[in-house]
Amino acid sequence: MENIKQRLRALCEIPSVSGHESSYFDEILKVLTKEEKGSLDEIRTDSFGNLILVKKSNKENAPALMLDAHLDIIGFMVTEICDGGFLKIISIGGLDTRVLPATHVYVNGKEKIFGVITSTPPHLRKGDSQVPSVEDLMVDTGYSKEKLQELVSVGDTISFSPMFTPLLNNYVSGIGLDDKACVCAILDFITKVDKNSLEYDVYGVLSAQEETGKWGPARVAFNLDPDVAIITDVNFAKQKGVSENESIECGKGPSVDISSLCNRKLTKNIIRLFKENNLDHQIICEPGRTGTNNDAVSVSGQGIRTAILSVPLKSMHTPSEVVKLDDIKTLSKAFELIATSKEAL
Amino acid sequence: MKELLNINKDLCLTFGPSGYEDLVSAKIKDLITPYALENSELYFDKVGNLYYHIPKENAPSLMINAHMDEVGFMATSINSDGSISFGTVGGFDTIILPSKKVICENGLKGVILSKPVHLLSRSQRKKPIDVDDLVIDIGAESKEEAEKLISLGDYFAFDLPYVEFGEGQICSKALDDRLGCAIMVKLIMDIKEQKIDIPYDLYFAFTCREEVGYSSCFGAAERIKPNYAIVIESKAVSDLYGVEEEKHVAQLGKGGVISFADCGAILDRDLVKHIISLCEKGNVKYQMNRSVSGGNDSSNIQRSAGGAKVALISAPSRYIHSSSNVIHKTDMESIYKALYGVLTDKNPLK
Repeated sequence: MENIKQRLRALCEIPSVSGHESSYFDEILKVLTKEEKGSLDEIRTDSFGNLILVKKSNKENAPALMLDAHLDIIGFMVTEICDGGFLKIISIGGLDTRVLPATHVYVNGKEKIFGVITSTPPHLRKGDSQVPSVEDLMVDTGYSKEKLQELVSVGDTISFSPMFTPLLNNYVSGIGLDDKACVCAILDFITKVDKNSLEYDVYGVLSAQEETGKWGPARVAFNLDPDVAIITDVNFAKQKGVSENESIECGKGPSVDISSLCNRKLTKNIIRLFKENNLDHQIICEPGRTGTNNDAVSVSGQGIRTAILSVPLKSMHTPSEVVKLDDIKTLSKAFELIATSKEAL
Repeated sequence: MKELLNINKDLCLTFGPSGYEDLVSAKIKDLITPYALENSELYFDKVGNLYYHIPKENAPSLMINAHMDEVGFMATSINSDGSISFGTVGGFDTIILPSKKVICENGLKGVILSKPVHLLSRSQRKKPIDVDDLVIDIGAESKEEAEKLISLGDYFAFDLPYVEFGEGQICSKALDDRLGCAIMVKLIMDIKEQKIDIPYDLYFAFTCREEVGYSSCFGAAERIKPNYAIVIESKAVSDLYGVEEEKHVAQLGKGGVISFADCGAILDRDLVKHIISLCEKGNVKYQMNRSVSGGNDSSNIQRSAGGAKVALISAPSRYIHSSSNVIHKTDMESIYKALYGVLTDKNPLK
């Protein structure tokens, strides 16, 4: 578990804000040891910004299994450099402006610059709404405008300060656990699994721009045309204010999502496989759209058979997302189970 | 000045919401003890205020004051899922609470959870989160487990790093009012090291429970019955881009904020003018408070015993009462210099 924790910590330190993933490929690959990289058949990228790790089966004409987790995280972009060292910003991805004031951030300029998201004092807030919109918020960098212009350009990204914090019972809190938790599971699985045991050629896709429109992995799926794609993302965990029917529980393993946009036979197969092997898992129903990469991948090219596995996560899209490491480990085991089973797909 | 900043960092990172000042006061006492003069007194009173007294006969008494407590949280119920509901200790702008990291008095770390934005209706997204809807998650998975670790009434404080950034800015929790405590500690060290002969019967009072309104400073002032008092505080300012200058209150980097009045007290005109004239003489940066806002222990001291002449000098502070107060280190230094000027004055107040 310590292995997973350290890898996840390292992944969370990388500010791969949507649209800027490819700037961080080197850093992502540094999370792997030389031996781990050496165990792969290929590491490739595409023009859209997806990073693809390939490990092939020794068997001839093995079907292609694509595993997807998105590499991008929510964040901000600089729109204006103002007097007094303040930056005006816009959001990248679905941010909750109720949780932003007084949050620590880093501006990813020429160098990493610390900043605080401003909090307008109550008596100066406009109108009835006490919740600021992103346009009302700024980043306070402490620099003069002149100095700031040397360090930062309009269009630079801003990300939450990582502040990775271990809690009790293997829970950790951090930023971008959506979807670094699943990225971590893919890396854990694909570097460890023995080629000889693989029934499929595995394509681990660390995809781009999920948070801004779920664009990335559909490009990979188009080029690759895999036999099956398994989309992995986080899903809402039970917590105060979140009802049972819209959530799964931390510590009970990944959920298999049952949705009209997933392949029904594949989903049933995976559930059966998990049951037969006593792998912790849970079921969540997403009758229509799933809000994950699944929806775009399923209609990519001439259509792809897809299934979704999700890791439960608390306080999604805040600077303090919470996940249980055991669920990441179980997801990695789930990949192994699927990839080494002839009947899985 | 590096020493002042180091003391400040050390004190800011110490745990101490209102009513739980013991760790802060112990640290301050440890810092002061090696510098205590032979004829001085260093002692606690029965409610936890810490005093350092350098007696001088036939001299007016001067009390210098800062409060040791910070805003924080208290566990009010332990829920079936192992999460902890909490109440706030001290005045908060509750909008800054969700998703902040916290630490319990027993060292356990936690985060303040809020419901994911995806699951909110359009109208809910426009409403600030009610404290009752927030919980602290320490990773406990059941009520039984959490109850073994957390008791009702346990304190929590913000748990964020102390960051020096920009061109001299500091971002931390608890700068309100550990920066005042740090300035006082530094002055106490100087008095010993530089053998300063103080023209006053001088008290340094490190007091408790300012943030909850019923401050222990009142008792401290009743005990000392000072002729004069100077309170060191932090002042909420709004010198943000886009805010009209007349609404700034004061500005970071332009020196300590000297007030003639705030919502709590009309400060003593003669004492205030005396401090200003010493700043002018000593070339010490200061700025005048441009609003009547906020309140602090100055009113408690002023109205204690037979009454006292009180002045207030504050560090301008952005995002006050949050996990991330922002001050400028030069303002701390200016306040330190202003007080140094008062204590080394050759023509003291009578």
